[in-house]
Amino acid sequence: MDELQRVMCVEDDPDIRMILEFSLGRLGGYTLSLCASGQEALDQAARFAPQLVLLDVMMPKMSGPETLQHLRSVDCMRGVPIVFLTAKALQDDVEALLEQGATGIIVKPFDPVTLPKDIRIYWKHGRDIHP
Amino acid sequence: MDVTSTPEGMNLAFADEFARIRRTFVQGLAKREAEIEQAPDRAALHAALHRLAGVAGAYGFEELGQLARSAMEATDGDGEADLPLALARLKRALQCTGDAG
Repeated sequence: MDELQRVMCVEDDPDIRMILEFSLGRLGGYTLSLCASGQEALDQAARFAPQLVLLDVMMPKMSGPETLQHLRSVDCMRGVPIVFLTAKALQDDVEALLEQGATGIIVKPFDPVTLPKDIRIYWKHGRDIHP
Repeated sequence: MDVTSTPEGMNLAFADEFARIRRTFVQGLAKREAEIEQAPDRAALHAALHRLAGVAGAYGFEELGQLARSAMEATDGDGEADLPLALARLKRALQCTGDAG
């Protein structure tokens, strides 16, 4: 499929899910799966078959990096770009997250107007490095 | 802080919808303030500040986000002495923003 349509967002903060829905769903026109936890993402991944995942790093119970590892074991998720959302932007953190298999990092707070274009870039980039 | 402004570059057709979710965010600030004030330990305080730092700017409250980030950084090791002042500034900003909503 040559167009990004289905985006899964995994974020425990309801206010961030609300602005993600507005930014990516309303402004960007993507079809979204909004998940409040890593477990919810795992439950929905096979059915929704996301083309890109936005994943919060700091979540209770199952962290973003743990969720990433579990998602990678789901058949339909192999090669799907996974981009971390984090309020921390320290260089060491960024490198560690990329080493864990993330396609990229988006630092919170993000701009809801430009986010739809930003994730499309990550999607194209991710397809190149995870064909 | 202006709670009715629209982000630069946003199609005005979406302005009302953005204003609506922004009000919802502002209405939730009292709960965030309580979370910060009643945090049972340093980890819970850090987590509450981290969440606020990550979300406020997306709704256009950059200053509030910066104050939350400063307080969050003060919870880490060396900044301990700055924490009371950072929290007091954040509390004032939370109340001003909440009152404006």
